[in-house]
Amino acid sequence: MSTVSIEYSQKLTSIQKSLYAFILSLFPNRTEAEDILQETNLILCKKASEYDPDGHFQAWAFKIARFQVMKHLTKQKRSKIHFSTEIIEEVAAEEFDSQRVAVVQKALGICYELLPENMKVIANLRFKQDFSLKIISDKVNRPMGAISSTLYRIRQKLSDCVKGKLHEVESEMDFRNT
Amino acid sequence: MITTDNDFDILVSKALDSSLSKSDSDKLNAALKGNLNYQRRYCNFILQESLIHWESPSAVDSNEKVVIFPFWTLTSSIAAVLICMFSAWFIHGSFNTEIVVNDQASPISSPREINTISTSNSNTSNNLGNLSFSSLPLHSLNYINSLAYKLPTIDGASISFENELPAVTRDDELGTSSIKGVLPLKDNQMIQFNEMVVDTTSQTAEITETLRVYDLKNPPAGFQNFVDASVSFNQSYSETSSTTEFSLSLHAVDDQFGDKLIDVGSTSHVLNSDNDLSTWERIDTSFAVPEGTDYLVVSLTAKKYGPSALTSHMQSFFADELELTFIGI
Repeated sequence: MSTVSIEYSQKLTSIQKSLYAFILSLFPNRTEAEDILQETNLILCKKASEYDPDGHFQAWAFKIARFQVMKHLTKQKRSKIHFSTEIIEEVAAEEFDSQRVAVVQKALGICYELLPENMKVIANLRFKQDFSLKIISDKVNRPMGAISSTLYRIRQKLSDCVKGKLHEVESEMDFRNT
Repeated sequence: MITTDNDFDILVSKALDSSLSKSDSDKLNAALKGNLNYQRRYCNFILQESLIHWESPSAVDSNEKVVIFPFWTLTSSIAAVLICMFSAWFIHGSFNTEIVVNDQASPISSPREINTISTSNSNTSNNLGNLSFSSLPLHSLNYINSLAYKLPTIDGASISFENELPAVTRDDELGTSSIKGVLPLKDNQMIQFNEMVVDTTSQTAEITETLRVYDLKNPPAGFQNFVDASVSFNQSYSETSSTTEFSLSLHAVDDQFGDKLIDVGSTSHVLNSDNDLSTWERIDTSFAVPEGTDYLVVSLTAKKYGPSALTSHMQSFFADELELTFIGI
């Protein structure tokens, strides 16, 4: 087992959100993505001595994550959705760049608060409390199809809002950094 | 065949809710293949989804600490109906209740307490939908209600008499023989913790097992309101050679007027285990049980910090020889 330096550990910690998002993009199932994230973290700890400090840490970590996803796919055929190897190789890691992630997160925080109250209730149950559609449907006494549609609308609303806020948030963050 | 962005977004949304059919999955695959625009769109949704997921749950107001049980009419004619309703709530873990928590330690002090008691509200995991808003360990309320209303227990827990007291115990449910190179301390059974819940943001992993709940409403004569407790901990081999923080917690609960539960005092004692499978680390503690305590909740926690928390699922955690002595009984 390689010794993990504090710097390395900090780098690893700082990319966790990006890494999780990247893995989730290749394997769109939260539970499995969390498992893969943990496996990737373990490999990254083991390979700490192989990392070139002058290299791009995130790119290196994503490469390992991509490999772990492929490995997971060969073992795990149960999932309803899994992408072909070609797609897994195509998904651009740059979309999950740490800086971009930070900006999107800020914008998302603002947009989430702007959701109408009825949508926020469903959003909290799904995103924050991690309930399945079936449980949400039972809790709010609405059909599962309606919950699915509401979640689709929530995601679109958030996506549109985030797009609209990105520039503003980016400028604000740039201003703070200068 | 996907013809519009909306069609595509619907499929992504379904994928994120794990409600995608095989044919929809093929459609999504086909749409993503070689289409940069859709790939970017897809990545945006995923990033958004994962970032919301990473935010800490805020749905529960941590100040909301009063648990009020549903009003129970005692008339026998509707008792059966109430029990059915209660069972349903019980199964779904959705009590319409509030809890009053007294963060103070037991008002009864004792010289024996000084060295061993560190007051804490050993809150458990992020398991929302259960009783995470309570300062009591997970499922405590369910077990208390099993004792109070003679309801069936959940999760394989059983009701028995321990130390001449009615108690819900999970020793058998969590019992295991030798595993992963760890041998039980005595006889051939030990307790194995369930898998830890990992919080990747704070890089911690934790599991709390509510192991026993004792009914102290009518203790045998002679009980001196004092409990001695001990337990030993061990863990399987870890490649990271990391230690694990184990703790033993006792919570005194007052069932006020049958409609409120108050955490009237607690003690939590912590140790850090070594990484040697062959040795067990032991905690000894004493607890002065406050006057008016109706239930005593005994829980064990295993917790890891830092990078090793992220790989906690590779390890197993054990406890053995949990002994409680109710002084005077």
